[in-house]
Amino acid sequence: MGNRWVWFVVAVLLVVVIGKVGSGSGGGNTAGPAHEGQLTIHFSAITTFNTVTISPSDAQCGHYHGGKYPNESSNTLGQPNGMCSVGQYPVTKIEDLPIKITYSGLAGSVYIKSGNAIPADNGTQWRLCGPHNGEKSICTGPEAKPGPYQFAVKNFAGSGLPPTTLTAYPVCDYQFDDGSCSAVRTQSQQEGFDIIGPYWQKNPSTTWSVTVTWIAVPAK
Amino acid sequence: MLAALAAVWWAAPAAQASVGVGVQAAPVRLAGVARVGQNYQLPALAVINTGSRPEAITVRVQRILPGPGRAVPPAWVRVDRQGMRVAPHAEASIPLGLSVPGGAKPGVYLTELVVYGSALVRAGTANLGAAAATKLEFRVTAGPAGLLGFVPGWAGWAGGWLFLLALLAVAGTAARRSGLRLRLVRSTAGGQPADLPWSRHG
Repeated sequence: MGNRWVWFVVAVLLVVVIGKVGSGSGGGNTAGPAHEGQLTIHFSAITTFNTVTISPSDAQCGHYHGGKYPNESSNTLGQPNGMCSVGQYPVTKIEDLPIKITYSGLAGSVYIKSGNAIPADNGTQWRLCGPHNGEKSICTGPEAKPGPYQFAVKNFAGSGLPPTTLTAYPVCDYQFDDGSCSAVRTQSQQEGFDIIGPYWQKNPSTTWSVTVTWIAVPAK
Repeated sequence: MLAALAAVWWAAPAAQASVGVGVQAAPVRLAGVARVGQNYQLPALAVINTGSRPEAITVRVQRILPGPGRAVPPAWVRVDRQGMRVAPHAEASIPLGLSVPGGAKPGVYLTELVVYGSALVRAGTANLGAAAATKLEFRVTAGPAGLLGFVPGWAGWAGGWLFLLALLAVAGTAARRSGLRLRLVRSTAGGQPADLPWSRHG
């Protein structure tokens, strides 16, 4: 008889446990179908995008100058440290800033970075450098200008800010908002940039390309 | 005159050309907590091409903004359609996966997912590229998902159902052994039990 009572108690306990599990004893989930007097409305909303658009998609470097005899030039990058520009600095008219950067979306920031200079013959690249880049990309030439196989890119706008040296990693584009890189819905800026060539380099390629990238970054 | 017209015709498409990309403003967040040694499907990443030419979109895991949270090693994030082509002014979804390795430290992880346009490189030019970033956030806990760290998530659910079935079987056996009986009685109008066919004992 006592044995039967033990089994009876075991059966009751198991039924209770199963009932608890089946009813979702974890609780907390109140979501479910609509109850009497309630109406659930389902609808779709658009995805909000943060975007950056650059126009045009590429540009020719012009206004060549610099270098020293016999390697100075007015139509190619001379040595040492010849320069060319997309646009013109100091800025006197809007045509001196041929690149239009347009940010759209929720409030955020515009960052900027540059890649290496790549020769058409896929030979040795020029490495991007700057005066304060930390890491391995400090310009090693005289007066903190680019050394051998190095080059620098500086962007500018019409704000009166001096040109800003770009880095290989994304940093705040201080030219975008006249000293800050803050961007609000549909904000645009006209910019240009200078390219400063290496102190010397021996790659025979005469055609080089570089990519400057603007990045829409969300608010912190 | 002809030369001037030709020059205008040649220059017009280039002047209108633009390059642009966008990414969803909302951060990508893992639903729930990630556990060490597990794989997860992240919400797909919405991207848009705002430029005037088709773009091949690539996604990079790159910490740009400072802030709390551990950096996410790029190898943890799987981008299923790297290089996906997106037509001008079109949107696309890029599936993402997350693999948290066995040695991952617990805590909050934060990075940016940076969507780059293809930035078609033309020799002899300064090429202008566009990119857009959104945040990726998740939390990692040390505890394994199941009884063992290598048991996949679905095995936990299957084990749970098997456990319930076993409980039911034990409950049935226990009920029989306890001598517990259910007697079904149907009353007639006169209050007498009905003579049910299945209650006869021969």
